[in-house]
Amino acid sequence: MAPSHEVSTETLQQALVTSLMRVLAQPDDPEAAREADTAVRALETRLAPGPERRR
Amino acid sequence: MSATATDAQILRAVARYTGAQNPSAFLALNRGNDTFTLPGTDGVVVYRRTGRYAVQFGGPFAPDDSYGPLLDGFRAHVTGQGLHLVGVQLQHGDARAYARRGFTVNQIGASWALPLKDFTLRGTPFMQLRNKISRALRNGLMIQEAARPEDWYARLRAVDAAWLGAKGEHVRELEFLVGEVGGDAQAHRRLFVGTIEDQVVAYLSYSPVHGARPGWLHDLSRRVPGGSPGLMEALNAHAIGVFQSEGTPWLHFGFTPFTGLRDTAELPGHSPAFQWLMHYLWEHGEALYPARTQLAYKLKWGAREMIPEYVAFDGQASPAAFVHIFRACNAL
Repeated sequence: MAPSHEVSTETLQQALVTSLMRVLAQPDDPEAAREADTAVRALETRLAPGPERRR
Repeated sequence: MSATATDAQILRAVARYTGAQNPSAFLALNRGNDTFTLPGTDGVVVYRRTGRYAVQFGGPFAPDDSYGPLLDGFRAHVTGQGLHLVGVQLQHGDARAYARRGFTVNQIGASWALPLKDFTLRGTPFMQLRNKISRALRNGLMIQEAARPEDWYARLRAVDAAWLGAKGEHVRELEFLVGEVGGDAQAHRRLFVGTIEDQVVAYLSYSPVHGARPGWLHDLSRRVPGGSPGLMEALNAHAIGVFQSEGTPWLHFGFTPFTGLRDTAELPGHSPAFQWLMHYLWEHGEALYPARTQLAYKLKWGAREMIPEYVAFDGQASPAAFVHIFRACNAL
């Protein structure tokens, strides 16, 4: 994925959903869990209050 | 060092320590739950272990002076075992306590309740409901409260088998955050059974609710697939009549994930990303949990007292921890 500042919010949201689906399919897969945590952090950063961000 | 609580200890805790006002507290007595206590300290933590997670049900059921030590002790116990703690169905007071300790706390859904004092099925809003109930009764439905639930267990299991079978071979029977029938805790529940021509066609179990909104929790309900419409509605209407005659203040319909989501219900420090995810699952998450269908049943009874409920992550909001809540419920 491109650096998060070049990625739309919708893309980050979809990445979170996709990663959740992967964890649902493999609940004990640590890699899937890490990927989902990364998706949360990326979306968190985008949604945090602050200067105008790319939507 | 922790100790295992007896059912009597759990029952005493949920009935006496109602500070959190958890309408589902009686589910702490479900078979298969683990408990954590501290020697010399009142109260109990209820949880289930799944994979590398300890999924806690509610906050500690404890007096004010034990709540903090129990929570801190349980957190240390879970960490010491190399597990991750996630709490579910926390009430607002629990949520604040967990947030103060650095948990990431988000609204995960809501439970729904109906005040019974002036409740009536008269009027246009309940016309469809009345029609369904009438239809079930015209089809020969007879309703009784089971004086001896144990006399009905075999027939209820047949209803369960038929209900589960109709759902498809991959559907699993949920646990943990749903009610049960049977076991020692049955002595405290109420069971209403519907029969047509002496065949059990539906049943509805209610668990006691203590605290500021005392009453009964519309808990485990099952019906045979097909057959008359309105069976569950007729059972619940009958039970409401009985409860009202006893002066029962509230009928609780329990927790439904992804429902009642409000920006104003979120606490400082919540995860905006997880908040978005909960809203997404309300809109698109029927395959994970049929939240809209479940809420529609509750709302058609006028259960509009919305009580936010929370999930708490020990660290950042974690999709894997969230998934293990469903795993603890045997949904995965």
